[in-house]
Amino acid sequence: MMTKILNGIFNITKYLLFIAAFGITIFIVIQMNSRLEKGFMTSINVFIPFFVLLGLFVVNLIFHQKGVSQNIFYNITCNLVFLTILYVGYRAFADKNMVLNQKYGYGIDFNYFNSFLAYLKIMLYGLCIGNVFFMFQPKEKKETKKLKKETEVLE
Amino acid sequence: MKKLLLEYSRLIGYTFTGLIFGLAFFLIFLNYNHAKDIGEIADVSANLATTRESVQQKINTIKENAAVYDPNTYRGSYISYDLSNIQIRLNACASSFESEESQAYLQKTEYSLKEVYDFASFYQNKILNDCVVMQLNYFGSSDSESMNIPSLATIRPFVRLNISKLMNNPAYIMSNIENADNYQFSNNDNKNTIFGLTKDSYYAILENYNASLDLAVEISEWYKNIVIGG
Repeated sequence: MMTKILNGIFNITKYLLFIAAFGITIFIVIQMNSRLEKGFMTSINVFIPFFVLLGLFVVNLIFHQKGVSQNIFYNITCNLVFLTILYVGYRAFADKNMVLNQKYGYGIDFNYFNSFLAYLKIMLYGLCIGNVFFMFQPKEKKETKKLKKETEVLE
Repeated sequence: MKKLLLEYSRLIGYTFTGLIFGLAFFLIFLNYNHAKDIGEIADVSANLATTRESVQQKINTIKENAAVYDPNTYRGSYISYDLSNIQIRLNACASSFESEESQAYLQKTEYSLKEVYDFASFYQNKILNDCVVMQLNYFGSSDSESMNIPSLATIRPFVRLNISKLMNNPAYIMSNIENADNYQFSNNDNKNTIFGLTKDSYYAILENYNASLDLAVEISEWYKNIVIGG
């Protein structure tokens, strides 16, 4: 029961943190590109894993894929990954001891965030791969389903 | 066969998720440790009062030596214009060291990494540039050959050597601090026995500050000798 509640919470916060992580990443990358007078498309490869993961989340929702949505470990990992992205983005703005934050007057340490981008892509692609593998679940036998329903009724 | 493949699918899924879980945890703790590391406040109060006294004494020495020359009473053989030129340069240097900003940095007992960087920037702009480069470098350059002071040729290599040493250090220290945003592991043993970024950078800048002041004092002593001796 407790696991179900926790899983429900993590499932919801997963989507909220995904939006926040995507938001902070796109903001910093756009600022980085504008400093160098580069277009957005030059750094599209940073956002491809976000779009792929978003697509997979949409598929999970549409097809009610329990292998993903009821997988507490996967949901915790997603939350942790997005929290990491948010923490790094926050530090790029807020940690004034990284002097490059203010040296050029942008208020963002681009060098610090840039060195994190490789880890960001690894984590997001890893979540995508995990998501795909969890989609394929063995179908529950009718007997097992009946037993489960009876247990739930008794509870 | 299909069931086996599906079980393997879950296993691979957990493997990937487990690896990403580990990586995310590692990065969070790495960043937390790094934030704590560069957020260190260095206590530099040891010997600070002695340093301030010594700096003030040296500034007073420069001003006294510069004041030895009085164009109204000077009866020596050197050209008044040249001696006034040197006097102005020495006084300008003394002003740089005596400025409010300079004194404020010598009053601070605790420094964060950002504050050490600001101190280094101040030293580079106000002391190194305004005093050493704009004023004292003249004595080491060929521009001073127009002055009819023979002993200037003797001190010229000394001035050149000291200035070139002073020019290289601050840029290296500032670059080191700017690169502190790269991940690094450190601990107290490492900081106390090998290298602590905040504390060691502060003392390196202070050493340069004192070295610049010593150069100005040496030149002012030479000036006093030529005014009195001339």
